[in-house]
Amino acid sequence: MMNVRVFYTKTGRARFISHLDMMRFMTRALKRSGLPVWYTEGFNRHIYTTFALPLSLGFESQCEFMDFRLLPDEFDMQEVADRLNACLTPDIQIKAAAPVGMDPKVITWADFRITFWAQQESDALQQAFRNFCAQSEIVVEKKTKRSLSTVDIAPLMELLDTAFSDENATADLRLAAGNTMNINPNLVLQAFWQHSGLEPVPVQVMRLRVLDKDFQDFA
Amino acid sequence: MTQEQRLKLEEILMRMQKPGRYVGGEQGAVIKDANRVAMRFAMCFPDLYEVAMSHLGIKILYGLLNEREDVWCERVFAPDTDLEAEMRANNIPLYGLESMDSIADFDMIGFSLQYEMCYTTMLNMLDLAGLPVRAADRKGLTPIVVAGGPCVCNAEPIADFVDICLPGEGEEVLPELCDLYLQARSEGCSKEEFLRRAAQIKGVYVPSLYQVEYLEDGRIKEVVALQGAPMPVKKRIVEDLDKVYYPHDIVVPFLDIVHNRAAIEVMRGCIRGCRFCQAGYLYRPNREKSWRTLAQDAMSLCDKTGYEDLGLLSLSTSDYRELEPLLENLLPWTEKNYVGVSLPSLRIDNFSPKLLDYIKKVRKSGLTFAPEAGTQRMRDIINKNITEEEVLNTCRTAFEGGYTSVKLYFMMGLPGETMEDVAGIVHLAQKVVDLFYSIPDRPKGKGVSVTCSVACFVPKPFTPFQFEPQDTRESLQEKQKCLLDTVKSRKININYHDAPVSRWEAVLARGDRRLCAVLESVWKQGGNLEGWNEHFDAARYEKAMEENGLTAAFYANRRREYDEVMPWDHMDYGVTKEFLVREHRRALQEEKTTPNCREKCAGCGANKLMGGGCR
Repeated sequence: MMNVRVFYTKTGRARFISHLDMMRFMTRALKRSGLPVWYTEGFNRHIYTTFALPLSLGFESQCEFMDFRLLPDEFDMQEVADRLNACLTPDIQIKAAAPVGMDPKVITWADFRITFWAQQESDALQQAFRNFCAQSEIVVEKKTKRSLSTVDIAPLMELLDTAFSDENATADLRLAAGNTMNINPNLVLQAFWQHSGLEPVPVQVMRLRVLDKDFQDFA
Repeated sequence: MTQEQRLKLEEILMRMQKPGRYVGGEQGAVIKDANRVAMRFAMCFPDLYEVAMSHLGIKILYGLLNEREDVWCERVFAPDTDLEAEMRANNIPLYGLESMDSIADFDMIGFSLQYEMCYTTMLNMLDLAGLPVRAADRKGLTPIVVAGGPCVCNAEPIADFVDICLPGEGEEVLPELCDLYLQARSEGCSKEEFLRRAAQIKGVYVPSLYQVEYLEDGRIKEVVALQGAPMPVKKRIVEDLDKVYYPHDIVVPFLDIVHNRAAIEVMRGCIRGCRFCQAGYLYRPNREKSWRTLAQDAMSLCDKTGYEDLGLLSLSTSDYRELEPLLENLLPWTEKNYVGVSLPSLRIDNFSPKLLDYIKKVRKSGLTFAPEAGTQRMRDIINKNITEEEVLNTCRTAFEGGYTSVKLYFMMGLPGETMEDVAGIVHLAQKVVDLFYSIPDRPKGKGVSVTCSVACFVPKPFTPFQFEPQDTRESLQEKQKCLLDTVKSRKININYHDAPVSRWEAVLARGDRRLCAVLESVWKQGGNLEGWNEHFDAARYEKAMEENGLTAAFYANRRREYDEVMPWDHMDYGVTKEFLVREHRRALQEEKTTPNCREKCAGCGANKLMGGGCR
């Protein structure tokens, strides 16, 4: 038996699919693929899968992960990717498959690209966002399951790059991610609109990379 | 849809309940190049995604049409009220889930009409698409609005809105209609000319080619066919189910929907002849698929979709003669492939321990039976043909097999019903409870639970009860009270359906063309998604009836004479009116049952639809 991790994209229409629905979808895709996957041994036997770092509804992603088990001790990873891709939709595609490497616990950062559809206001918006990120302190209210607390997210984020065109402005943002501290881009956006006083424009968010504490890609 | 509209829509969807309903992109969705197809078809189901995607019929027709290279068929469902408001506010038209294009420019728009309360949703969808709801106001050849499904056996209440109805089964007639459409378009035909020609295809009903004359009291005097349209209009059936198209790949939704499973259709029609059941008459004659075809259908569908559940569908699956060979051959495969099998629609009188063993093997779900009425006299009137002993024996088998809860379906307001019959529902449930405690090896540690779901009877066209008045609201309320008062045990749960919806369902089911104006008014007052209790409002119907000088009682609570011209008498579903009259007399004057089709042919007339008679 071997533990396999697949890296996949979730783009376009698939951004509207919730995490729970994605899990069901991937299970069926594994079933369709005919790969020799391992089923749980319990009363209600099902394909065993785990997903690291669930993505919020509405976000696209270039780096989603799913782990599952194959019955053989060795298996060609390219074949896993190819056979799964034949059973997936164009919006959800496997980029690579590999034996499971890092433990999801090591995830510390995630990079996002935020696209602001501000049309001719895009340059101004880019500037406003830069100014927002340059603050030494950004205090936001963060809801957890139990309570509402205030957090300074300035040390938990880093603006990597910005750009703009006639249609939109983009900002690449590194945010704390993982089990201990996780900053959702929506939290940043909420603070940004409040701070800038600008009228919100349509926004798209795409997860680009997931990293460990040493900025190594999660693999 | 323009890029701007699309961006706006995506922004809106982020705020909607379950946005996954509105974006398509599922496994099995068919994407084609719009510029390389001759014809675009919108397969509409006037309800929410979860209900629409559970319907087998549209999946078959979707697959069938998309097999053709020249046609692209897309799915279109009703948006929930939150999205609808946003679509209207932002000028986003109703769109196909595959292309996201507005359906106003499609060539043909088809509606599957499964129940009367979806009529206003159909109007709302046409309006959301930016189209006039009235057929006469849609002048050109594009789009043609087509309707199918059981409701079109009496399409009169929607006659002013649709261009074409397809009574019967669609697998053969729909492609023929598409061919004719393409030909008519290439010849530059007018819409009128196309409709005249379409009416000549067997299984096509063009309401505008029939003129209805009324008597002074509101009953119909006669219906006249115009411009050579056929009289009567014959429904279409597929003779050999082993040869008909069945999809080997279907759209698998991301969302969890009502019936989320692969389904195979084991047979069409029903041999039983329960006198209240419209499906039992509309889908005659009974035709079975061979178990070999079904096993193939099941395996390829499960392989293609990855579904973990398989449903064996029909009106009465335990009447399927090859059920045992089918299960014997299928279950080893499904077990090996981790697929659960469900057998809905089992009858009480042929529920064998062996069948129970099969069911238990696959998944332990609740058991549901439909005695339909509480007393033997009442069950004889409706021709249910089961005895109390059979109900109890079945429950015994189930309890001994480890089940502790059963669900029983009943109706009230049936023709000839007395308070005794209503109380009989509870008495029967009590006997089931008592039976449980009398069994020595009953499941230990758990009490029994008997749930009775009691619906209000709605008389429907093409049944022997089409002549019957519906029970009045007052009487139904009294009967509901009687039900609750009779219950003495906490082991019995009674659920009953709301009477007002049933009343308007009865009006629409047996309505005539004068109800078109009523439906339009109800829709204009906000009627939409009325199959959902929270969206139904009887006041809208009452107001609309009054505006049009009509009364609900005329349609719902009036006894109709055998010689009255029914609004649907110009439709021929195989079953003759003489047969329905005969059955009605047997039911209420003689309280006699009629044996099922396999025991003895009752001469209903549906065998005419088959070249060689029923098999």
